[in-house]
Amino acid sequence: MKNPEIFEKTYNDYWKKLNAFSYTMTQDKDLAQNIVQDVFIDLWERKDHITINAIEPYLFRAVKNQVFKHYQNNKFDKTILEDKFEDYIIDNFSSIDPELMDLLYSLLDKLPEKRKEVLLMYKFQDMSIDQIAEELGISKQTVKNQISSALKQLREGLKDLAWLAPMIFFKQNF
Amino acid sequence: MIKRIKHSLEYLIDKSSRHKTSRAEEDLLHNFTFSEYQKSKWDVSSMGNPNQVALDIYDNIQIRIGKKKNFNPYLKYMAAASILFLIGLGFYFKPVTTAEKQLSFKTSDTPKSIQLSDGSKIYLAANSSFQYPEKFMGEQRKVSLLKGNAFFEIAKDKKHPFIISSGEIKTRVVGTSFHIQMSKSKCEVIVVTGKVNVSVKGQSVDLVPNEEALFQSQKLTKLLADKSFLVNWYATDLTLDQTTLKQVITILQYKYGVSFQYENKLVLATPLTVFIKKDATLENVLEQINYITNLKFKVYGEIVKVD
Repeated sequence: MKNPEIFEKTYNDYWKKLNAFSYTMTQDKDLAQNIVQDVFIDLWERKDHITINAIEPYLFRAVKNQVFKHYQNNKFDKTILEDKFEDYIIDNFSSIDPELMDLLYSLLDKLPEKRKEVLLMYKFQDMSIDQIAEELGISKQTVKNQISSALKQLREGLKDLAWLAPMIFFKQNF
Repeated sequence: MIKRIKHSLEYLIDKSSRHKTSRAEEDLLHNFTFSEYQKSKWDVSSMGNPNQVALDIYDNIQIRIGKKKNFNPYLKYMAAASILFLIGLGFYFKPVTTAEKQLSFKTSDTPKSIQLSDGSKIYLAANSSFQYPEKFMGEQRKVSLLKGNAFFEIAKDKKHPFIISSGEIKTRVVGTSFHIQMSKSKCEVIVVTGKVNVSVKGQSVDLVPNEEALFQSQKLTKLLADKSFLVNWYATDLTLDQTTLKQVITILQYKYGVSFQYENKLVLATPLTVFIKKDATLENVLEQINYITNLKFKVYGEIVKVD
């Protein structure tokens, strides 16, 4: 990053991917462009003082941090990112770190027994709707309904951390 | 009372901005955003013509960079003047820094502590080696950890920064306490109190209590420290309450400068509670663990085998 040519090449190589990313996260065209602009200005200003081993992870992190900063300052519609986060958690349920699984299990425990069972079969044991229906001797429609209401309830839990918070604080003390 | 609803994402982002997230939480945030990054694609209808946008952003960057440049035309001269001044200072102070007589301090099977001429205390783990001047002279207090692990309690002296070299790493402090743990493959600096700067090969991180710097395979990273490191275990009696063998081994490795070998990883999960007296020998501690768990330890110099 020592000279303007390298800076320009870095810009040309990465601006588009970064802008697409900032837009995906914020759904705000102007804000998304400003984020990319600020990240490159910051890079230029610090170019003599920092050593960057891998430029793409650095730029990704810089954009991510900017998005988070604007999120905290309510500069865009936060529900967009929050919905994506809920989707991510639900889609990646089985690959999330065990430490955080405690948190998710406590959400799961709030579900009625039957609903929880169906969701676990669906998400953890990778069973199809047909298989679950057969296993439990209920109709496919019931399975579908149970899954969708379980996911909905889980989503609500992720939205409101108020009743989860004591548990999280408890964990921090150890 | 108004109950404010806080989304789990908001909770995590707030925590992350205060550097309070655990590694797992930070990973979750990273993986989530990274998956969005990988999925994101340019959409002309909502994001506009990419060629135009590329130019717009680039122009804005140029304007902002240009403005900064013209902001103070004297800045250049001021910078040049201050560099000259610093070079001058360098010449002025240079003769003072010579002739510090170096002493070395080594430990074999028990940890030991030493007090330096400025009042700083160094607690050296077993099988470690440390070098320091008999009396500090000059602008900086410079010492080296040559081998092993140590806990530092540095006496406050803002005018004379304290610099510890450990391998290629330099740790710079004013007055604080922290651990340095060095092995062939990595070096860790863990801060207990105060502020610490760690630098190596142009990479640099600032640490506050609870944070650690890890230098491994030529990369310097900042992490949250394991809680059990946040005490000076060389100088205090230590109770490891309802922990696992893994945790105990970690502490023993650092305190006694030994490494453990085991056939079966499952032994690491063995639950136990141990009390380590500050001046206990490794044999004392191993006997105690053997008594509680029936695990057998054999010590071969700096290697401990677990059966």
